[in-house]
Amino acid sequence: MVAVVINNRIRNTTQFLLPILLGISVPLMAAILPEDRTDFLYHSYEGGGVAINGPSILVRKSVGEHVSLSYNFYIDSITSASVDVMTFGSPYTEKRTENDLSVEYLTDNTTLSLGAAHSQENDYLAKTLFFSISHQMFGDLTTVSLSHAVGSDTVGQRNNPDRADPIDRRNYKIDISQILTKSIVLNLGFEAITEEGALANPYRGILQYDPDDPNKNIASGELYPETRTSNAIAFRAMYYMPYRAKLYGEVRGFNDSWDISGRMTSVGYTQPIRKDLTIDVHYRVYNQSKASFFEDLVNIDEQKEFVGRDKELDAMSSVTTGVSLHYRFFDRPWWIFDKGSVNVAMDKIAFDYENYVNRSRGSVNETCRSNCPTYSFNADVFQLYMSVWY
Amino acid sequence: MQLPRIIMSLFVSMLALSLLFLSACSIEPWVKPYERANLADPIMNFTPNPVSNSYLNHVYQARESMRGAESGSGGGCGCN
Repeated sequence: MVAVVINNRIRNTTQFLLPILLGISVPLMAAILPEDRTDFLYHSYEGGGVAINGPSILVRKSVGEHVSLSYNFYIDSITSASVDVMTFGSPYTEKRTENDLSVEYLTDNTTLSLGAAHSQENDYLAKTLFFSISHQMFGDLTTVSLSHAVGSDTVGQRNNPDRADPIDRRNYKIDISQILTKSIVLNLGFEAITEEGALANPYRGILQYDPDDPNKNIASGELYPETRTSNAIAFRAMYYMPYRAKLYGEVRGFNDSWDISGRMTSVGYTQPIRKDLTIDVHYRVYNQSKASFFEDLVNIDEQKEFVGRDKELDAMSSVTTGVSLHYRFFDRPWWIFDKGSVNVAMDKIAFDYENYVNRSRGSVNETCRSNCPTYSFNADVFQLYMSVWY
Repeated sequence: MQLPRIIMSLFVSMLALSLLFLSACSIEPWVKPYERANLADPIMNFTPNPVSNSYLNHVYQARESMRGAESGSGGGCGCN
């Protein structure tokens, strides 16, 4: 039987796309509806034996002076021979499709948003409802947003049509933006997320070893807690340089009930080169501790209540360097369009793990028992997109 | 640094309520409308390219354990 391991952490992006549609990028001036625009994005990720690419299309249109509608269509076409896949299964291809729809209603300085997202692949279904309220105050210098999302996922499994395990999810977020001076804007965000249900990957397993038999690993199923609660807080700032450029940065902290703590720091610089050309460079560093139940290799004689081998739960770090170019190919009204741009972005991410070892079948470290070299890989992220406003 | 979750939740709730109550007060904005030209510049946006920003958030959420409080993002991850 060919076992297929799917990286479930790539699958559900429901909540990622919803906020685009809901305009959670808090406006800095008087409350207004989001701009009418359409974006055509091609995205590509390659690294660690995984290649994912596809389109993302966003259409946003206002209806009258108080209502804005948004629709996003997104596809992930996945080809995976990741280290997890090569340890527990076989390379595979898959496609995930997501549709998001939302509506915003503006009244005075308050914006109400309601949205829904539907993400589906052959063994995973995710549905989310999202509501938020945003209000500007203190002469439009301060914007406060409160958001709540309810998610309901169904986890299936190939070759097992009877499997349909649920995951329930709740998100609670508050976001505050503050214009500090005529050149400085600050943002503080806090979000709590709770999940309950089938949180383990149905395809990934753990590896056990017998101290009396050093030449093989024994695969077994993961044992995950049925709940997970996390908190994240972020602080952002951007500064408008006197010669027209932007310096920006962010620090974010995270912890959860699985004993994972994470810290992220990023800085970036945006510089218009010409009237129609802008360049952006950015740098990001992330570090996290490992989950309390993560184990790269488990002694078969040990009894554990919870154990997992998802490398994303290991102590790890990532370093990103990126650059993007934005070319405004017209900025005067033409036909039904007001302006348009073509954009390209490239990011290189270096992932490094402190405990996870590449034990894929046939690898040189498959049965390594001590002083094992830990896993690391680089990933290339590419985006090409066109934006038009009307 | 481990932040007690209950304390953080209470802090955020009190902060939100305080801001809502203060909004009823009359506060003279210290940045006048005619001084906000820089802020109106298209580059002065935390998420100037929402589709691109959201995609990058997805790339990181799928490969790191940290989730939540992203810029331009209001939800969590159902990945497992």
